[in-house]
Amino acid sequence: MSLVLVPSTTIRLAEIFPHLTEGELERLRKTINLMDEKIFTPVIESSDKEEAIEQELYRYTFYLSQAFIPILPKLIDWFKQPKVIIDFYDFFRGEVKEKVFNRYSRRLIISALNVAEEHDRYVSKLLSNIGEFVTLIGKIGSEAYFRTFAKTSLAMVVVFLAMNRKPGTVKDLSQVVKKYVDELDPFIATFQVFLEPELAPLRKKTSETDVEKAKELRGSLFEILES
Amino acid sequence: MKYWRVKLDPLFEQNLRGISSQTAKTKLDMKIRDLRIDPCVGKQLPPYNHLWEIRIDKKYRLYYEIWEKQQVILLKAFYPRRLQKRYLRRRAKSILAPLT
Repeated sequence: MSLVLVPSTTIRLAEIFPHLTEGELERLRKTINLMDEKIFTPVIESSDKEEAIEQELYRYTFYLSQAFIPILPKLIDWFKQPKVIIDFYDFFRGEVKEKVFNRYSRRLIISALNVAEEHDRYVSKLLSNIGEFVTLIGKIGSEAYFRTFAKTSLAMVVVFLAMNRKPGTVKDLSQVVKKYVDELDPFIATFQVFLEPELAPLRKKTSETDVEKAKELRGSLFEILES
Repeated sequence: MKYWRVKLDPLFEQNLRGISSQTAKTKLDMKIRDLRIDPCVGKQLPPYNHLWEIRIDKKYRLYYEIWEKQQVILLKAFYPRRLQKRYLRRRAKSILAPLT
């Protein structure tokens, strides 16, 4: 979810990407600092966070491609390891528990992190077959997917920076994050149907005969459970 | 107001029996009541255009199909989010760890 873009002294890029060369790390650092100056800080300082995120989206995706395209093959290898994603999100959950004192905002951000982690875990699985991934994204609607992904990612980076720099803005930002994560969720559900073997029967529409034969629910669901 | 009929796929019934959380089942029951009034409260899942999804209790997803002509909602699956499954496994591991 591009949370690596959070410019922080506690997250050292060299530890996250031990396989990148010093030159590649330096280039990544420079791009992140530039993004911080041009995008992240203005969004934190803006009065309407959602509008600011929408306005900065094009610039954000441009810098994102600048930062990641040169190291994409190495990044994909890194991203395919489930442990990397688990550790990464556990670290951010710890940060939220430590720095966000408003219970409602904390719950929203943790819930958003869970959705983002689920998204990343499915994408990491899908990346093992790039061709299949590209085809699926094309069928889902690549523009809508990448737009939703980018704005969720930007909102999350900004909320993490705001936790340290301007805690008063976290409440507003966490609500924006929640809204975007809700938009991302149906894409994750599609990934789940596509990848989970147990859900394979759902990929095909049920036949009319099977619908007619299916048991009808009358009253509460609990009556079925008790039968 | 016209209510939609609700039918159950065998996979849905199987999923339901495998889930022990009473809270999740109660929330599911309430969500089904909402779906009877308006099945389009969930989200359609292209490229599986026949399939719809709605979140239950943040931990589960309900997958269903809408059969407009028959005014039927077919409940297809009630499935945990991937993360939920992982957490359950990890929690089980951490409980066992001190014993091993």
